[in-house]
Amino acid sequence: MRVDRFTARRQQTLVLIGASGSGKSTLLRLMVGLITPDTGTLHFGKDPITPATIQALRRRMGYVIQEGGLFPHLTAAANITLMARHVGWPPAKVEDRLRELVALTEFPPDGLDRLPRELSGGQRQRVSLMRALMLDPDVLFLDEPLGALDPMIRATLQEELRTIFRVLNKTVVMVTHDLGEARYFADEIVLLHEGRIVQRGTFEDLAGSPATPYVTQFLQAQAVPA
Amino acid sequence: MKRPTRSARGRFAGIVGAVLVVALSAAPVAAQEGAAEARPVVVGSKKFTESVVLGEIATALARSTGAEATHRRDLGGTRIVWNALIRGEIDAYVEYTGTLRQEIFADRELSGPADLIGALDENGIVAGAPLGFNNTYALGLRRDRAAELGIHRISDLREHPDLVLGFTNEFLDRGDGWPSLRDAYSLPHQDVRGLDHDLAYRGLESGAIDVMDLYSTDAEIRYYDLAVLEDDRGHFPAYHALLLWRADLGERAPDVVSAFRRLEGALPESVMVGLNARAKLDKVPERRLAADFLGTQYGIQAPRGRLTRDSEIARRTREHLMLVGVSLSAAVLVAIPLGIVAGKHARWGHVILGVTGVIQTVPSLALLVIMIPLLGIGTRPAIMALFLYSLLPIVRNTSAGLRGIAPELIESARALGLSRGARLGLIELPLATRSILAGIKTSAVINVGTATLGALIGAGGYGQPILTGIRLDDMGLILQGALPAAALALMAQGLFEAAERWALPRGLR
Repeated sequence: MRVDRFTARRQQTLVLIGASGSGKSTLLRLMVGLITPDTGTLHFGKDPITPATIQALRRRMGYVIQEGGLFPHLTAAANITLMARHVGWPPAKVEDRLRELVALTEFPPDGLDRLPRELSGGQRQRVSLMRALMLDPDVLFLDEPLGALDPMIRATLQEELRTIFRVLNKTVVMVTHDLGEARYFADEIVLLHEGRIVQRGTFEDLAGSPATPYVTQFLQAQAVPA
Repeated sequence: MKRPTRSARGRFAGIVGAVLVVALSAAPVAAQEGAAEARPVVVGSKKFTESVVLGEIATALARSTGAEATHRRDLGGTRIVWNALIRGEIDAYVEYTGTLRQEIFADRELSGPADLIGALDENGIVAGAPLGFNNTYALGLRRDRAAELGIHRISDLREHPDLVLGFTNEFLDRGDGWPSLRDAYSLPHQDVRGLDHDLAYRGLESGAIDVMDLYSTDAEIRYYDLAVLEDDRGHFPAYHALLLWRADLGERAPDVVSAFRRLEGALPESVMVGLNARAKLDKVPERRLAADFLGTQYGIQAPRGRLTRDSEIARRTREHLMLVGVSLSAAVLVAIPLGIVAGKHARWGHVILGVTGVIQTVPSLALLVIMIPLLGIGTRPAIMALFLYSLLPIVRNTSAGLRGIAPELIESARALGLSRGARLGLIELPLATRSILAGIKTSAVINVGTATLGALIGAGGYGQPILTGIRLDDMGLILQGALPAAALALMAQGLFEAAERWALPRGLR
C-alpha cells in the first residue's frame, strides 16, 4: 500500500474505512508498529516509531482487536492487569485502576475471575477494552472491535463505546468496514481503496463532495440514509 | 476481588523446579559413582554363565584377603569387558587365550605364549597362568538330527546346505568366528541367524535352528544331549581360561593378586562343567557356587547368601530411578530451550529437529554401546544414551506447541508491549504447556523401557534381573525385572497425567 502524509488528530476519533483488502487494517498495524513500512517513517507524537522505540511506545497505545485476542489461560482480571503487573505497578494501584475500568465499562465484577471462554462475546470485548486502557494510553487503536458480535449486542455496545470515548476524551483510531458505524463514531473518516487514501473528511464531506466516483459508489453500496 | 493465586509463570516455574529437584537429588548418587579414592577391586564378567561364575569366584577370593571387592557382572561381550579393563573401570576378568589371539589381538601375529604376554604387557595387563580348562568353540546339533543326517564332523555340514545355523552375534563377527570358519570349511549355508547364546539352546531344542555354536564347557551339551562336531580341520584354537588383571593392581592390592594366583590350575574341565551345570541346570546362585568352591578348594569361608529378593528389588529400583531421573531431568532442561529455539526460528528448527531425529533413529542398544569409548561402562554412558534418546519428543512437542499458538494471541501480546522474554514466559510457554508435558510423558515412558538395556553396559537397574533371567532361563527372575519396569512406565504415565492437571492453566483444560 502507499500512503502520503497521514496524521490522526489529538483527542478526535478517526475512523479508517474501506472494503476488505483496501489496506485499512494494514494502516492500523503500521501505526501500532506490528509491521514496519518498507519506506518512510511513522511518528507517535514527536517520537519516531522504530523497532528500538516501539516497546516503550506501545505502553502509550491501547490496542483492541476483533476477537479480543484475550489469553485463554488467564482470567479476565489477569488479562486486564497483565501489563500493569508486568511493568511493576504496586498491587493497590492495579486494584484501583481495575475498579475504575470496571465502573467505566459497566462490567459485572463477578466476571473478573472468569476465563475468557466463560464470558459472552460482549463481555469479552469489554475485557479487551479494559486491557487496552489499563495503562491509561494516549491513543486507543481498535481493529473492528464490534465485528464479531451479533447485531443487538453490537448496537448496545456501540452506544456504550461512544460514551466511553467521550468520557475518556482520548485520541481514537478505529478500523471498520461498516459505514453506519463509521458515521456514528467518527469526527473524521478516512476512506481507503486499493492501498491508498481516497478521501479524508467528515461523513458530510464524503457524501456532499466526493473526491472520486469511488466514494459515491462506496457510500451507495452501503445504502446509509444521508 | 480475588486475584489468581498462582500465576501462569509460577506454575511453569513449578514444573521446571520439580524437575530440578529430581535432578539434584539424584546427582549425589551419580557423584559417588565417580569417586576415585580408596577404589575397591572391581572384577568384571561377560554376559554368559561361566564368566559370571568365575567372576564371583575371583571376587570372593579378593574379599578373602580383606580387600573390598565388587563384581560387575553380565557386561555384554568381549569388546566391552576388554575396553573396561584397559580403561581401568574394572581391574580383572577371566579371558580365554583363543579370544585374545583371534579377537583382541587379531591384527597381530602372536606365535608363542611369550608373544601373548608381551602384547598384554604393552597394554598394562598381566595374565595369570591358565586356570586349567579349555573352553573352545564347537558346533553342535541335536544328537538325533546328527545321526539322522549322518553329520559327525564340521566338514559333513557341506553336504547339508539347507540347515539353519544360529550363532551368537559375537561369533558371527569375531576373527575366529563364522566368516573364517565358513572359509576354512567352504560352508555353503545361507540361512545364518544371530541370536542370544542361551536362547539358541531353546531354538535348537524346538527345531527353529539346526546348528549352533557351543562353548565346550557348556553344561547344556549334556543336558540337551547334543552332538559336538569334530573340528576336523583344526580351525578353532585352544581357549585356555586365564585371569587378566591390570598391572597397577600389583601395587594397589598385592594380596589380591596373590589370591588370584591361587586359581591357576585349580579348575580342570570337569570342575568347570560341574559348576556350569549347577548354575544353569540346578539354578544355584553364582555367589553360593563361588563360596562352595572356595570352601572345598581352599577352606575359605565366604558368604554364600545373596541379597534377599526384596532388597534386590529395592536396589534395582534405586538404580533404575537414578538412570531415568537424571537422564530425563537433563533432557527436559536441554530439550525445552532447544524446542523454543526450534519453534521460533524455522531454519534452526530444521537443524535441531533433524539432529535429534537422527539420534532417535539409532537403535537403543547401539547408542548405549557407542557411548562406551567416550564414557566407559556403567551409569554414565547409560545416562548419556538415555538423555540423548529423550530429547526428540520434548523438543518436537515444545516446538509444535509454540507454533500451534493462534497468531492473534501472539499479536495481542506484542501489541500490549510485552518484551520477547515476557511473551515467552507469560503467554507462549503456558499456552504450549499441554504439548510440552505430553512430550515429556512420551520421553519418560520410552526412557523407563530403554533403561532396562543399561544393564548390558553395567548400569544395573531392572534390566539386570531380566538379563540374568534370560541367561539362566529363569522366568521368575525375568519377571522380577520386567514387572517393576512395566509398573514404573505406567506410574510415569500416571504421574505426568497428574502433573498435567496440576500444571495446566485452568483455561486450557
